[in-house]
Amino acid sequence: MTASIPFRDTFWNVPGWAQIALYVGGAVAIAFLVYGLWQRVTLWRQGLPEDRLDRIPERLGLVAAHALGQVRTLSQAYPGVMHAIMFWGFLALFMGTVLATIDWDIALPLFGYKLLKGHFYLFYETVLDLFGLFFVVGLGMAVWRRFVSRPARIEPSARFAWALTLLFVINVTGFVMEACRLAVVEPWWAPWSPVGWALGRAFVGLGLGPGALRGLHIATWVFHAAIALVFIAIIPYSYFVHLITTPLNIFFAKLGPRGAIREIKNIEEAESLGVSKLEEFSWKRRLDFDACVECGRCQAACPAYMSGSALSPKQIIVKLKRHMHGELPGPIHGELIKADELWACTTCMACVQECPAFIDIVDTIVDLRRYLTLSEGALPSTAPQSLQNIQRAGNPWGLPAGERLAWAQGLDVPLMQADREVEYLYWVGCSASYDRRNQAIARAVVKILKAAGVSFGVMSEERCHAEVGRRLGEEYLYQTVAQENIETIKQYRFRKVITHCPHCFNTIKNEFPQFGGTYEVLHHSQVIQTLIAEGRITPTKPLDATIAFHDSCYLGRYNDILDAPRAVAKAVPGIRLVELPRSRERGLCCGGGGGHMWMEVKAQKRVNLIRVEEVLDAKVNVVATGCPFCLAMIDLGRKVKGAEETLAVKDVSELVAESLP
Amino acid sequence: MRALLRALPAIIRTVRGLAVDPVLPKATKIALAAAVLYLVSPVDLVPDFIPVLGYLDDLIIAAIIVDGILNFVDRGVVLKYWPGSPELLERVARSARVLAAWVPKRLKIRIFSPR
Repeated sequence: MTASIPFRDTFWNVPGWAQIALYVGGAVAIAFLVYGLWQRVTLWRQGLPEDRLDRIPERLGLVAAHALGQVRTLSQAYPGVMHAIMFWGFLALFMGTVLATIDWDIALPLFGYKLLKGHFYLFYETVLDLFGLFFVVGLGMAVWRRFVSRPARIEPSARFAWALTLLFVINVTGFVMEACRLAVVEPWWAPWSPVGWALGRAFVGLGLGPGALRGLHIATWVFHAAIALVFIAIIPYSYFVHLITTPLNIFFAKLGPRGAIREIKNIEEAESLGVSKLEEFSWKRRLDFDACVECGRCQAACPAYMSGSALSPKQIIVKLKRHMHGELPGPIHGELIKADELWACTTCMACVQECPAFIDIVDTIVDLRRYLTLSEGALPSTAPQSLQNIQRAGNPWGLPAGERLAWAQGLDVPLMQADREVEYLYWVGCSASYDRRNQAIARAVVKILKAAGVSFGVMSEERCHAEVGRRLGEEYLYQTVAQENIETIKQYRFRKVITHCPHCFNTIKNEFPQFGGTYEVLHHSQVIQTLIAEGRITPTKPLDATIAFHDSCYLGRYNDILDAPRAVAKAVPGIRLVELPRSRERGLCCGGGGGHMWMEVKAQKRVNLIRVEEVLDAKVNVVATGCPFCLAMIDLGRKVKGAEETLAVKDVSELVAESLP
Repeated sequence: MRALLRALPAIIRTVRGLAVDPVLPKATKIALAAAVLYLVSPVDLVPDFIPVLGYLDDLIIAAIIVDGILNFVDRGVVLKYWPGSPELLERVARSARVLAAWVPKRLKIRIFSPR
């Protein structure tokens, strides 16, 4: 016995009728699977067209990293490990089954070759045994989390209990079968299947003889085969559909800049504006809904949800999914989704950043807002005035356009001239043009640029680009004023655009190209970082302060500019930089994005207060920002919290400007 | 789990008391009777002669009934018959809810707290 070569003893102890039943059952199960998937695909294809078949290698890379590699899933420790070991366990067992099928039904009958034998078979056995064990551990973690510790973001309902039970029973019966076989046959290589072997020893220890073990084996085999086939058959009709929809959705993910919202083409002639009916979603959005695994990561990261407003991004997607399957009645607006939910979104992208299925939640919310704004004229609170002001006066306050350069008085700021090329067009933005506090940012930037001897200019014809209008769904206003600005910019010659406002940065860099305005755009922190690195400016005056950098969503999460502002702050002598608990791509929104600077939304606790409390807990003297809106929101928050004396808030450029000789 | 066992006498007394209370809807009483029958009968989903495993199904059936009564019947009515402390009731209710996770909430509402 000891000298024999190990091999896979397929269908040991399984009578012929059961083998035939397995193949027949397999065909039926696969028919159910294929039919269900075909139904799903048909449902998605009823959506509007959208091109998602470009850049295939990049898409495959995403699937490799985030579906097979579970990278995004693993960005949260407990649920990440829980899911990854279940997924990899499942994948290994699935591949093992495929190999066994190839071995028995293809290699052996067609080529007379036994694949699963010798060292390879021993490796196969050990790996599958261990992955089976991992799978059980993962299932245990899942049961604990969903039903015992029960975080608010997940639902402890019966369908998940059944899903986990089904997987558990399939797994355990698999081990029982293996154990019986190894205990009866006792091949010398049995210990290579450690779990099955140990369980088999236990059965023998309990006094089960070969007859009983054979009986238990065939009974378990039939049961295991039956429920495994049921599992395959119900994939398209159950939670398990995410095995297919989620990797598919990752493949079709939105590539390119996250912050570029799709334009409404031919807005003048478009029949319906925004989305109010299921039919108006593209096929990709429909796939989005089906790809949602209801893990609730979006909800846990959502500042609007934290603030106790009406919005849960998870509920938006789940409701649309159920609506798509006819489980929840419409209409979408008013009935299924309340306007309050949509307006509560700050468009911070924290949900999109966390979503392991790569669902474009914010883009869907903006599409729904577009309908409210453009077709119903139902903008909330004071937002309509601000947008009217943008249209009428070129800034959200409605202040005279002639006062746009008031901040520059006495600074001798060069204006753009048609016959003179400069290196930088400095896009100041409305906030630093009109807001008293934020004018200091523009002055600091000018001081730095002048100290470095950089050639630059500002435009007196600059007007608000209504980026805020676009986020509020006012696409018509946005397209009009964005195009006007692009026309204005055309008169001048410059190499790059510099701006200190991440909202201006995002729209000019990522959205102006939709209307023919393509420029190299830099955030002021990037330019200052380069100037310091090149030695063109040197901050020398020490500022004795502990500071934390608050990441602006539109800078960090939207555009991945995370290190430049930190490097700039650290270049100032005497400054000690600490990180807030929620920072970098996971930074918490200030509560000012998505139009919230210009309107009030019902909430229990304002986002800026939550953020200021985090800052106060971090025991810093100064919050550094890279966004005038973040600065304003935190400034307000510290005043409400009575921390004006102990906590200052400054733009990174102000820190550098103060430190210049 | 241990809380469930330690609280067993209290649970039985509460269920017995509630069984005759006119407040309880008919569906609940039918479910109760069926569950008692199932628990007593040795012939069920997993037969009781199999050691350990044989009682697993009975345990889950019992947990479903306890979950239904403690979590879905009006708390005030339950407390009327509950001999132990409210904290213990809370713990038992929570454990039972975990063990009865397989039963859809809608069904539980239908049987134990119809309006």
